[in-house]
Amino acid sequence: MKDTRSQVHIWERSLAILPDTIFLDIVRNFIGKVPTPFHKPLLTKKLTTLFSTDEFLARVEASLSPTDKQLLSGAYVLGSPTQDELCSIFSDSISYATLQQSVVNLEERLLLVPNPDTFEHTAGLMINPLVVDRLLASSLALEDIFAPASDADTPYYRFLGGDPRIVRALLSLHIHTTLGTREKSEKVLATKYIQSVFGQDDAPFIERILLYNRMLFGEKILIEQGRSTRIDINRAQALLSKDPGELQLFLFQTALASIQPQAPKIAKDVPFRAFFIILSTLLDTIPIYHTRGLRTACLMASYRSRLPIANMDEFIALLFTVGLTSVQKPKKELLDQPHLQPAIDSDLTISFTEGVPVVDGKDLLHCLAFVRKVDVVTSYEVNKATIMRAFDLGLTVEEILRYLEGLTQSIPQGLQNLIGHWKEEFSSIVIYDGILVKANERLSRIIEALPTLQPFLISRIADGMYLFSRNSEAQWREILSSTGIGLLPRSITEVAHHTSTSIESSIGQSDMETLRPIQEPIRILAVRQPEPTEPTALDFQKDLRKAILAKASNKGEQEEMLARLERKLILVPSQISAVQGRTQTMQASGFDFQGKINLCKAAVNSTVELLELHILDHDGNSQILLTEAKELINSTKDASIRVLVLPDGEEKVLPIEKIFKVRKLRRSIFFQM
Amino acid sequence: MNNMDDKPLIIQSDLSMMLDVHSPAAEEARNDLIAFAELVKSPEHVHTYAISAISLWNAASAGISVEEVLGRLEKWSRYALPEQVVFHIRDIGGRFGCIQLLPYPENEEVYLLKIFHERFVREIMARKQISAMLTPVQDGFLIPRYQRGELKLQLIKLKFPVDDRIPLEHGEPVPVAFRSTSSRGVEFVLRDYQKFAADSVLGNGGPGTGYGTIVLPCGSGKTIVGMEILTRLSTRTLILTTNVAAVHQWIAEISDKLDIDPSQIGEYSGVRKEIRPITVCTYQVLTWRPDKDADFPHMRVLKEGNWGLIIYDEVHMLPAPVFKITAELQAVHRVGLTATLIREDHREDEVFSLVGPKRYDVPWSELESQGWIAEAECTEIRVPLPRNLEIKYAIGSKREKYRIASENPEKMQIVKDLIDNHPEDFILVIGQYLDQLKIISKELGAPLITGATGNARRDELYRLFREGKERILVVSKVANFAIDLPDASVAIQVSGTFGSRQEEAQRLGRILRPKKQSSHFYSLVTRYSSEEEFSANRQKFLTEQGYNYHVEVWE
Repeated sequence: MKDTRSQVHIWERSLAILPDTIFLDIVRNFIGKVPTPFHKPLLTKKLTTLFSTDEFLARVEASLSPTDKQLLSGAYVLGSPTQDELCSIFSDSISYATLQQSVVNLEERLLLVPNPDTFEHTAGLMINPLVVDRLLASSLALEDIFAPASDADTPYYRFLGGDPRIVRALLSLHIHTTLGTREKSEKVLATKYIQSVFGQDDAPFIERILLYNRMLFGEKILIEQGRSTRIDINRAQALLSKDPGELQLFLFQTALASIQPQAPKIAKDVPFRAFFIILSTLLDTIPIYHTRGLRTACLMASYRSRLPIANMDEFIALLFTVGLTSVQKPKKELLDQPHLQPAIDSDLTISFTEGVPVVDGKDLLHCLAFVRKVDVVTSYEVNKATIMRAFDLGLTVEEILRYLEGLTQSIPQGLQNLIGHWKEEFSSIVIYDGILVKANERLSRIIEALPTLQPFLISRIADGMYLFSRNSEAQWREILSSTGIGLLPRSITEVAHHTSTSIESSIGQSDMETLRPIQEPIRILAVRQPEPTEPTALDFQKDLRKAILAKASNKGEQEEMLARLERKLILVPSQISAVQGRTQTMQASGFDFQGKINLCKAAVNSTVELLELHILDHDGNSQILLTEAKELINSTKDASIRVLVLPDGEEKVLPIEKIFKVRKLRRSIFFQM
Repeated sequence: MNNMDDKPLIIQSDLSMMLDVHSPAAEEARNDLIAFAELVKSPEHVHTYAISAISLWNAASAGISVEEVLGRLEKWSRYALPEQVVFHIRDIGGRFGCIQLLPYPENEEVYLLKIFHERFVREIMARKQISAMLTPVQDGFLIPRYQRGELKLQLIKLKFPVDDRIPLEHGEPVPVAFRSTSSRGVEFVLRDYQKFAADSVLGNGGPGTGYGTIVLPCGSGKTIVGMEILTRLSTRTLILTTNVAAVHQWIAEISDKLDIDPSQIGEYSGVRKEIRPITVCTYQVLTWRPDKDADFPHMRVLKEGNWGLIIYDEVHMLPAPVFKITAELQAVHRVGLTATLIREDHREDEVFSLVGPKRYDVPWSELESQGWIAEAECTEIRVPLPRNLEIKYAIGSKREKYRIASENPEKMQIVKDLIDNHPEDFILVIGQYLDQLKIISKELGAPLITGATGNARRDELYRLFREGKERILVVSKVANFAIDLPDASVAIQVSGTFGSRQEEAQRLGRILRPKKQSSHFYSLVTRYSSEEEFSANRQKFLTEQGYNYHVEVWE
């Protein structure tokens, strides 16, 4: 929330960008007749004063309908939505025409005002900065957008969260078996391991596990080398240290990259990440029980993050593949149950239910044990082969023992002995990777004596035989050359160099933190504060009606003011005054053929007006279309009107005689489309 | 820390269940589970049970409904039951009762098979192997009596359990009871778990009871359980076991503990062919035939003895031809006894189908903690290969490598040292290769028992060992099973049958009879050889039972 001064500043900027005619219309509504020439800053100040009055604000709040609250809550989450965006997130539950007019009504009530920062580019709206805090404190909530369930046991949607247990299990399989390249490993996993390790083999689950596998390759934790695969332990550690939300995001990126050619680029974009964060925050903050709510949440995340979604159904299907699911609230008695703490059994199986097996900041389980089961209980098995592999990955006996001891509190003495024996066996042979340099006696003396060469010398094999690092060949060659040897010969047999292990990683450069602020509105709306009890809209509307009837000098004025009261434009007695021009909605119906034509004609190609057309469909049911009038064809008895139906813009030509009611509506108070 | 409200069971989506044995309620939960789940392993922290189709149907046949199974799981489960588990139990468990096998009073040579779902009829009749056995009648299908077991086996393979409502036959009565004091003058009391094991097989005597397999650790008195069932049914009984020495042990035990005239007990073996009200027989004699195309002449003992009870000792050793004949003996009470129901041919399910389901299984560690079997310390001693064999080993085939490692001559000295370290103990030196065993026997001056040793000589050596007149016996795999040497407290395994888990457990079993001191099991393994890998595999069953192996290197 912002301080009052800055809120007033934004409010003033918002009003300042309005054209004078629109500004004057608005001001007249709130503070009555305005003498011309007018002084805009003074009028703005008067409006500011009005919107700072407790009584007025209380009435503003009391006059909010459920649809108003829904739209305002939506607007708050979206930040700066366009009118169309705001309407479309609720169009599954309320007709678009009703929504559009509700938004216009909120505009004329100055509850939604133009966002000065986005006005020129996107015609964005925002909640009036002078009332936003008050509304947030007691009137708005996510519940206005997402209806609660009738039953506490109703399942709701949520992301499972990226599961580090699956990542760890896959790493263990890659380390301790020969799964091979990405393509081969997918086949082997699907046929051999997914059912046995994860206990499930339904198609979506298999697809999810394979996505995790793809993610490991995509993030360069697993690197294909010919027919085999190398693992980057450091990157694996980095990935495992991510929270489930971030892992879920990685998975989402991988999924998107799998289905769309252009997706890899999109998947790395900030809007994409913002989308995911907003959606997951919504799902974490409020239970969403119905598909309709899920679509609304996706649309909100899409608009807020500016990530366009071409096909919502496909997109939602993708979300389910990556881990969106429907869950029930766990029973309290089950939540209270203790976890199975990690323990090593005599058959060298390590079992545990919850928690990350991290000891001293290291998650090494996958390096030194083979995964047996990832289910409610996760089980890993230690054996000679797995420990040997751990040695091969560079772990020491001490590291392994420290890790196992930290994980399980006590290691069976037998296992400690075995690890010692296995280490001895492992160390019985050393295989170096490097370049063997054979030197004569004189050069040997130089090599052994030269301090600058020592960092590159892996081992002295025998007299005159040295093993030098392959990766730093250029450097030690240069040093050797500089000793006076001159040009060094090439290696007798060239061997393909290993690729570098230090690969630029996106894992450590997450922009998740920078995206945190966009979650804030959702969290603020999570809980609705108790509503004020006084005053109720009915109380003061009755009094206002009486006052209007008393004050109106003629019937036209009276109708005009009552229409404004109906639209909640009059909230306090000081607003009861005749306004120039009609604010009533103009309409023509039935046999008033000419009236209908006139309204249509007036709306053709208007940037500020829409037509609400009431027609009968093929089944004889009444249908209301909100349209942009494009052309009146003929103006005789067989006249038709060509319109674009909102929000999709579908073009239709409708005979006037088939339209039984036409209403001319304002498109927006602030914007000309 | 665990408290009394903690629930001990964690149910996995693949229908395996993990029992946290440190939970105070673990014991109570275990007793509830064993009726419908099988114990898979029982190390010191987390025991694993599994629910299978067969275990559910066995529970159903013993009167435990699907809802009761789910109720017990709900009661003990620490977390919510996975949806697929509930679905699977309802789906699979609910099949029981849809197919019934009933008596057919109009013709005693056949039974009536009733199938209550048209879809099941279509699926079953589509299988030629099954439809060939069935003759359609108005209210079902008729099946010859002798095909009862085969039909049940084939249907179970298709995941259709048969609710067998045909009562078992009781055979000719043989009055028999336990003596309160054995003929050797020792007071005899049945242990609780032995009683429960017998109860679990006999149940209430109704359909679905009276047959089953009992899994108890070596040395825990499976023979006594067999005899308890025998006394409760008091009927003509055939006991099948692995070798003649075991036959003699059974006869000795029955004579010692049951109040029955010795003339009522017969031995049917290669040496004697007696058929008496209680007859003990070897599998070998049953499956002997003059040539590989001939019939099995002694198999008639099984069919024609009018038995009311058949006890299959060491049922994991049941030979294939006996499976076939057992399928025809479904009207007889049947009990399988074993410590290690692990078959290298993976026919455990057939044992369950034909002999009977696993009715009772108890973790070894539980009986050890109660003192019913001896505490055992297991040590693997790694022995270096002599330099002169290193190259021979390195270039050998897999089989040669294993043989060289197994017969590592350096093991001899270790055997001697171990024997010196146990001057008071009775020691078995057990091995696989006769040449190796002969050398050891000669070096130690200890008698050797192999397959070539005559039965009389074997019995004599076992007797001398039991009487304390021989302290060391060198034995081949003939002593792996069913040999009761109560005072043996040290076993030194010098070689074994590759990675056989069952052999390792059975060999340890030779020294598990309860005694004052702990027993010691030593396994000598050649270092840096394939024997290490085989050894690790051999140890799996025991480590899953909670035994820890200490590894020592002989320098």
